[in-house]
Amino acid sequence: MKKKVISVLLAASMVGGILAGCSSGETQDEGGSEKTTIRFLSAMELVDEDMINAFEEANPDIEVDFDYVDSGNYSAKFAALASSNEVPDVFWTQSGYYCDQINEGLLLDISEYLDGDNYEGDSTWRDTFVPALLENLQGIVQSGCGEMESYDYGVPFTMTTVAVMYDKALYSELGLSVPETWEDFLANCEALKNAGYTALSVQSNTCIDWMPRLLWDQYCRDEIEEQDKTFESGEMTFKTESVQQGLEMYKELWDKGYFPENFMTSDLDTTAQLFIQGELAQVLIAPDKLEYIMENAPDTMELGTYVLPGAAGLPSRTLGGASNIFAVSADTENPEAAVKLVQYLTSKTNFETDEGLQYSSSGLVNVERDPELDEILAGYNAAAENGFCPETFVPTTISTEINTEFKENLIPNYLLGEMTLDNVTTELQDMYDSYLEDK
Amino acid sequence: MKKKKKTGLLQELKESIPAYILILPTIAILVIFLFIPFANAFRISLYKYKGYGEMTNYVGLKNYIDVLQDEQFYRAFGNTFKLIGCDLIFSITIGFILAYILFKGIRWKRFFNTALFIPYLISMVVIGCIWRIIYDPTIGPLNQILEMIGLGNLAQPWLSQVSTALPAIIVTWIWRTIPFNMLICYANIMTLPKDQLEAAEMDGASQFQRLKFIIIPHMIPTFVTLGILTVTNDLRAFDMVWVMTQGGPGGASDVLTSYVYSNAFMSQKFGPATAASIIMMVVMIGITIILQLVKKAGGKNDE
Repeated sequence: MKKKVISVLLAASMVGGILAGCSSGETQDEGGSEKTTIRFLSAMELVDEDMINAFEEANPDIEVDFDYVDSGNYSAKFAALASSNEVPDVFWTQSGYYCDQINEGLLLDISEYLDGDNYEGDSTWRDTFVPALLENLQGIVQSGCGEMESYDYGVPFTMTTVAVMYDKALYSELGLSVPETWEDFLANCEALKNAGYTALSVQSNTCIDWMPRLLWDQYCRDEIEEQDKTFESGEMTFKTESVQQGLEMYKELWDKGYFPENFMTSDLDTTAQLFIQGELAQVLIAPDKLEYIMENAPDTMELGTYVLPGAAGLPSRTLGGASNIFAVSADTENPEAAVKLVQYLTSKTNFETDEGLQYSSSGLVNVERDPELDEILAGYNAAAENGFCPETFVPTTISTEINTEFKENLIPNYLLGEMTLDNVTTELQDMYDSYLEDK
Repeated sequence: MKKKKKTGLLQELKESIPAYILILPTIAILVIFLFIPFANAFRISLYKYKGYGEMTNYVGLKNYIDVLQDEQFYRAFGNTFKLIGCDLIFSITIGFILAYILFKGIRWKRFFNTALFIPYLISMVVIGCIWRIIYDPTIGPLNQILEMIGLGNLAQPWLSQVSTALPAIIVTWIWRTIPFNMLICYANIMTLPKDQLEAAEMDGASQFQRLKFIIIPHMIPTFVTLGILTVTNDLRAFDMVWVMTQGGPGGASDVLTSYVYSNAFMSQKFGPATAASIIMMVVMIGITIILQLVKKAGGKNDE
């Protein structure tokens, strides 16, 4: 009997223990201080603990629970958080995800805040951004979500431009000059390859779609912008000749052996190391990813940047623009604190004090960059001068599903000869049709 | 008589109450962490769902049909079984050979015993990162060694080619699993009665004959157990594959788990992903049942 009582008590204590473990953990503020805690998820290397600490120091009433995830795993992390209704108060996002998130009602309409004061309180927040950049972001919402009352669900963080970084010393050694035309560019690639260098790469395998998108901007611009043909109406499809031409040119560059052997698996660090070691001659890279190269390039290297010439001879536009977005959760319990953090991130104060941001184009009208640095990064300015290729031009970035499938499956298999051009474009068109049906 | 039986049943039930209470926590854990999520996963598999927002787009069994018509699913399926097959053959065989060498006795036996076990102590993610660098075509030591020894023509982008990505992962996987198989085999060989081997030696049995007629038959139940463990473990292979290639290039090294993960979390196609995971679970249960039946049949034959 005694044994039975003991076993029952033991079992009861086990059940009690489990239930206690399941109960929610409430935290108490030390010393009863009234700090607002907000959760922040970022996939940008530029945003780090130092930046958050600076914000917290300037705003002692706000505590930021900061979480970083690399951009390759962002989708997984965000989906896991969103599926458990744990969307962070403030988070980084990108065009492909941005429209999905707006359509699902996950983002707060911040137009009211944009029309209010900026972080420093000396201007209207909206007016501090380069106008073309905000228009670029609003255009993404318009094309991905259709007609809406507001297009302000996030703000751009830095103005992303894409340019080719190269070593001027190597160019001089091989007697090359900055290419003015696409033919010059191809000739340079050939010369670099023949000299034993890997001619070209993109900053990481997650950007494997940059090249076709830049090529489409050239080949499809006339039809989309001059003739007003759209994919939505079916006048343009992935089978359209100009779309196929972009992919064919990409394959041609691959087949000629201009890209590195580890192109499909190379991450940012590997690409940067290849460049610094002098094995990779040119890299298509965004300014916010330059820090490692700029700080570790050997003295023998003379860094320079140039804008990729237009393959069809049209003025070269760049990818990017508002490609890094910070947004606020629609369910946040602390919208004021959350917006304050976003205002800080996109403020003159932040760009003038944070060292990691020195290579970035702020995208703000009231911030100027070091003139010496500007000379090295002249290619980025030149890239931005002709404007941005719309984010959803040929709609491979219109949804997470199409974007991922294009980058992870279709491009690698096409380049490696495992898939025909016809199969690639058929699959893209099927996915796009399905997207339109759901829309 | 009937009353007595009823009283007996009641008494039995009464006596069992403490036992039921004791297993209650386990049942609760199973229900909370297994059955409820499974029911939810099954529900998701019937919808077109991005992983967040409301589940409104009911598609019935379409996700299952899509998965079963998806070539990539069968590719991942095939890759998983290539991994299992190679692991079964090479890892257990090499593990056994190493165990036998240790059993026979070599100089610095203790050192080798520990050193050979080290790969098993390292996490899969770390191993994946290390081997990813080893295989790198430009900065990796593998190609550099091949070039140094005059085999530069064999140097290649191991993880970036369709033909070599999966074999490269399999080699790494086997390297990781050999120590475990070696340890289990070694522990089992050590239980072999020494008098049997001594008697065989006195009767003039050669080294090979002792291995063939005494040691290997003694090891068969261990091999079967290792086989079951290998299959169930390899069906869950994910972390190393993901770190090394993310199933690429172009899905060439996808295994079932990475297929499910990339569909769910990269493409946000939770419906097809959960449908694939349920199909995968059915396959796993089927394989486990078959292996148990084989083991049972083997046991009966021994009797």
